[in-house]
Amino acid sequence: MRRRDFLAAGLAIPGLLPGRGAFAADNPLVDAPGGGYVCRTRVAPPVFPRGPGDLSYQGTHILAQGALRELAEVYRGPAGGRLHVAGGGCDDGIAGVLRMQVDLGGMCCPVEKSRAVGLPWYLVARDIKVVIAHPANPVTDIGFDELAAAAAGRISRWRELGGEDRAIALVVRNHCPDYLEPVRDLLLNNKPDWSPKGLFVERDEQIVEAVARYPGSLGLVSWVFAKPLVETGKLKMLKVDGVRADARAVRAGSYRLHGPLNVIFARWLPKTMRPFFDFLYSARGLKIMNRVLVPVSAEEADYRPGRWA
Amino acid sequence: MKTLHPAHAPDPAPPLARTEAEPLPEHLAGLRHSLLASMFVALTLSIALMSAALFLGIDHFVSQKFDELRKQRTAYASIQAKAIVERELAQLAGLATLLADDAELRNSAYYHLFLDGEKEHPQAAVHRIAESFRLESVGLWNTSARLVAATGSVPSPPAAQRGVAVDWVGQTLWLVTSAPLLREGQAYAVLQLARPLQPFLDAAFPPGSEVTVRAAAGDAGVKQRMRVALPARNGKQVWLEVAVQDSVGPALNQVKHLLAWIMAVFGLLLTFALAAFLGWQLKPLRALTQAVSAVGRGEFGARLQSRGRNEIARLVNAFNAMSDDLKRLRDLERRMRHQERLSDIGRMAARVAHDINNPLTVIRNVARLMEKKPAEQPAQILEDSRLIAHHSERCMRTVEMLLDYGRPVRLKSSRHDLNELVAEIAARWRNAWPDTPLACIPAQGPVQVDVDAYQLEQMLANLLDNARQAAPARPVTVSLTADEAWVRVTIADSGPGFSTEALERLYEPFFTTKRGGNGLGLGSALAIAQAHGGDIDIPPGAPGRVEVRLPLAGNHAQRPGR
Repeated sequence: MRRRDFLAAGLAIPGLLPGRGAFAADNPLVDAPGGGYVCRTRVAPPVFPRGPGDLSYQGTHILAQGALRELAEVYRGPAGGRLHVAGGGCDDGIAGVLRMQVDLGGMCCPVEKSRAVGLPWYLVARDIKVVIAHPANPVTDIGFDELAAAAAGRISRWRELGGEDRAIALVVRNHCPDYLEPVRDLLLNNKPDWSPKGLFVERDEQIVEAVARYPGSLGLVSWVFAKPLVETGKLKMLKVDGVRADARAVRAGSYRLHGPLNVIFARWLPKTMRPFFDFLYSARGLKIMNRVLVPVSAEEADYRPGRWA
Repeated sequence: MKTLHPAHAPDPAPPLARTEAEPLPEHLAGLRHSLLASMFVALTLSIALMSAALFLGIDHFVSQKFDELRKQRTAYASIQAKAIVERELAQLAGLATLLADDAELRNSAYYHLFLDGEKEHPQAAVHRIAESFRLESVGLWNTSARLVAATGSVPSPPAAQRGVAVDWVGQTLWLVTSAPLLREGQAYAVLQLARPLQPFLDAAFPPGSEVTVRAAAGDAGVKQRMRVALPARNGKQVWLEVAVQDSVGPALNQVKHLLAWIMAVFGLLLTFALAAFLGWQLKPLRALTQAVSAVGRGEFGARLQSRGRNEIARLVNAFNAMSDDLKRLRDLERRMRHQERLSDIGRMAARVAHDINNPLTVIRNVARLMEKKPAEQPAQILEDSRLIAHHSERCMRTVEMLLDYGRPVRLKSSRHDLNELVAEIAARWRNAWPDTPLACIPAQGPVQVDVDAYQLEQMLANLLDNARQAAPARPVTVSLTADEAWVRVTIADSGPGFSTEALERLYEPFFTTKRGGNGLGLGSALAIAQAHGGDIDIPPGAPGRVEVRLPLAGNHAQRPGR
């Protein structure tokens, strides 16, 4: 069922397969654009200007919003080429690349066990997943196992976490359900066994909005989206096992909740891609990456220009 | 025969149960039998019936058509109203389905209902939805029909399933739709949207327009309204009563009144116009009636003026022809009687001549012989002899005149200029009667006639003598006028003319109005004129005037003589 939806949406074979309507009728939880069960947020593919030296990106909005939009503002390729960025989900990136609509696709999941297997790719950064709660919530720290139990619904009240005696409202975006989504893999052994009383949302922005609104809520979201609200005091970021989520903790391995951000492509375009990746792994690029993401060096990414030639 | 004593006479007959009707006045009785009055009444009735039939037919047809039109408009408005309700319900249902999937609403509702969440969150979501979509009523219910959050007036709890219906809230009818909030296929709350129906109806049928649509409940209804059943909840009956104002009806009534007046006025005008026309056309009949009465009294010769060529004109012409024919018949009858008398006189004259003329001749001759021997006769005898001879002569002349009168006129005609001939006769007559002035006025140009000059002079002398005796020593005029076929010789005097009785008997033998007249002169003149193919006419109303008509030469229509 999910594969059929992916094929119909991503491979653009409208009319051949039942579309979203039929799917939504069977599964009302995904009857909205960018439903959480598919790593896809865009209904229609983006249309970019195609100048000489231009590059286009579509895919996970974590990477798009976390670094690429800012990077695109400063990057200039050969012949003045620019980087055009569109967000979405992992499947948006894979579909865009496979359909040759974009040059680069972004994924927040490992390429392994995804539909992008076989495509060339580079790890460009790591995404920090932070645990957030309402600022009024007295809880400041949560154990990893407690978090996993709350995600699975085994712990349903804050009292069990040292807080008030009220229900835990877990706010979940169940994205990339058939990929090896890192957080789900860590908490639920990659099974979509989220708490049956969770509050499911469609977008990461809705996670932070819901947690900021509901005092009894608990959420797990990219630092990219949580940072503005945490910095303004509208959200509280909980420590996990006493470790504050940041790049240093991720690099040190003391903070386990993080995921890779990969860029895939169908074929290596040396005239346009090499300058871009060179820029991305350059000091300036890493600096931009470091704002909200955990940058990855060229060596760690095994970036070699001739690797996918 | 038994005679009843008055005392034993039976009682007077009881009054008749049915008294005789009062006779109508004469003018009304005349109207009763008047063709014109009958035609007037018939025309009035016909036009009235025709107008009434026309009016009623138009009224029935037009009223029926307008009634059908109004029903069609009402049916159309009902369909339109029902379509509006169904369309708005469908739109509202679609919106409810869409909003039931709103993440904030779903999560806030679930958060409140199952996660000890505050009520303000679903309330905020409901308010946001109501403001965003300008919905008058948004309600969020749990599955136990408990109201969780709401804005505006809230209808009764909805069913857990999706549904559309109309429902009363107070005096307002609302469009109500509901959609469940689902989780794992199970409904955990119900979103209910409601909007008052009336604004939509007002938009389609503005107040003051011809179409009135109002909601009604129950079975009560007005017959003139068309009812549209609406989907209601809880087994209630809700109707839309649709009525279309009959705006055409008053206008139609005005038109009917106007039409009735127009038809009545024009019907009356037409009746009177036709009556006037008929009266004008039948007017000759009244004159004809009088003329026929005159004919009945024996007054022939009257002529009426005819107009046109219609039946009345032909009747008048036929009457004129009949009157002329009757006049000619009377003249012919008179002439026949005259001829018969002449024949009788002729036979009697011949006998008299045979029986009296010979002794008179002997008496006259003896008397003349006695006159030739005066010496042998005493003076007295001589005087007596002369007297005998004179009266014998007179008797013989009378007998001769009788013989002449009864004898057919035998003409020795020759062509003459009548102007000259009459002038000669007039000259001789003047010599004979110098005391009577005689003026002779000839016709213009020569007047050629074929006449017996001697007979003609005798005829004119008779007529001139009559004129002189009618007005002694007064002027007498003889004038001639001619046309293409006839010449008229008119003898005019200043006498009193003939009386009506005299006119009837002028030509009878021995009828005379003169002392010493023998009553044969005018008849003899008539015989001479008729022998020439002419005639003598004494026109009525022209005293002292006698006209002799003679045919011009070549136009001689010889009529049989006496």
